[in-house]
Amino acid sequence: MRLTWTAFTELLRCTLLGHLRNRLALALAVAFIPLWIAVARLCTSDAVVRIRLDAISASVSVPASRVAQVASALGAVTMVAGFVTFTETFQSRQMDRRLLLAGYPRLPMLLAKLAAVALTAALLALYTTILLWISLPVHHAVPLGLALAGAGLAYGGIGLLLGSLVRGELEGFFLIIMLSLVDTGLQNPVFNTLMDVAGVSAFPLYGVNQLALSSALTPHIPWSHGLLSLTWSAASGALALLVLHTHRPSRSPVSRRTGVRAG
Amino acid sequence: MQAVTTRRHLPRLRISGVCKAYGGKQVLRDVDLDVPAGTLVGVVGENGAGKSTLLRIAVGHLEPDRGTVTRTGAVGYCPQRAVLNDAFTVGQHLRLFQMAYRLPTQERAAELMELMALTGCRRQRVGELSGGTRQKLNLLIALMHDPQLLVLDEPYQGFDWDTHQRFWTLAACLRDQGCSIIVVSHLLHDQHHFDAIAHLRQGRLHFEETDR
Repeated sequence: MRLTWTAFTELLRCTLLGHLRNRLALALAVAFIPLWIAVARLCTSDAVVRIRLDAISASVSVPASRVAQVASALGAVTMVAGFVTFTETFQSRQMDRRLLLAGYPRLPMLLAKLAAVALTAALLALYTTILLWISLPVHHAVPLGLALAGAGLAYGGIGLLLGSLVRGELEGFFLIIMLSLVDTGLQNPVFNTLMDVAGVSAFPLYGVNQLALSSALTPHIPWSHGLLSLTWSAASGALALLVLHTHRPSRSPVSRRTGVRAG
Repeated sequence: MQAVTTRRHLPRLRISGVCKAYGGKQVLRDVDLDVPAGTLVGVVGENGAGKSTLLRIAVGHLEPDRGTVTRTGAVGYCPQRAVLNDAFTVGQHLRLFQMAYRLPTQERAAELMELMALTGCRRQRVGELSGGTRQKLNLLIALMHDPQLLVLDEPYQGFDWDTHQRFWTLAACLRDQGCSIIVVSHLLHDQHHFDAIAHLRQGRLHFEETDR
């Protein structure tokens, strides 16, 4: 039990320190999110638009720039969370296999990876909520923060999955950027006013986008929609863990019996 | 079954009838290899002959299409390309592998660091190390738990001459202590270090005795 806990905390600590040493990821997290919110604030009209929010089953009238800022913040969080998690998973997968072959306990390794995704998403959400709170009159900061964390978790899970699956780094970046662009574009009610595109609710950001917009711009808090993104996080996270598990090194029956470890 | 000169007891590594193909290309055909305790075996062959594939199968990194691999005792594997995490420090690598091998201390790792002139690098990030220093760490990870079977895939790539010589002294010392060692080598001038040489040609192993 002690080894399991130490193996979990040590790998989590190393992974988080590795994130901190990833200068590009840090620069993206620190600069890209406020920049993207500022671009949305400056480049979108203050004209009032009427948007449909499924989560509260009503239409609301709000300045377009406020909607754009919340949508941009969600997009930025998804991209940074996806990028950071994908890079870490992709770059460490050979070493992870070597550690497993050497006898590193599997469950703590998998849990440390999930915990790193969750912590990264939580930190990004906290930072982005503060930025939005400074930039906007936010009705409910806590559910907004949870919605942003949900977005980070969903794309963190996708980053984890792609990092374990794709062959090239460029493929992974391309898939994360494209999925995030399509998803944020479809969920942005300024572009997609009626939200009546078939299948829009099946995308990872649908639930958190509804929760974020409602919490930030209306007095309502549709908690249940936030849970939808957890389905995405859970599904992508579980698939990623399954891939990590099935890519385990092989052991012959004899080596299993004698507890062989190779480094 | 073809076997390398037996010195003591049962082999630590026994590869029997192993076949492996990539796509339509048969890389290994019915390969047999025994590596007994206290033996240093060299595996040689042209580029793409399947040497690394054979070693990856030997340690359980890769499944053979057919055949069996039997290993006894702890195994140390040094892959051809340094498999490390660039974002972690040298010290973090040692700590993680200490846990993987269930070692109570890093005493042996410290000795090896001294031997390989790595002592000043503990706090350095692996991504900042030179190719030769990364390879030293790659090898150290394979040795730090005093394995009974060592599987080394060109372990001295990028080593300076002194470190290269120290590696062979260490290998001979471990062999004399009863360790079974299998090394992939391209260098003709290294071949006098081996007790036996297994030449991989067209997917089959051909054994050559040495003067040792």
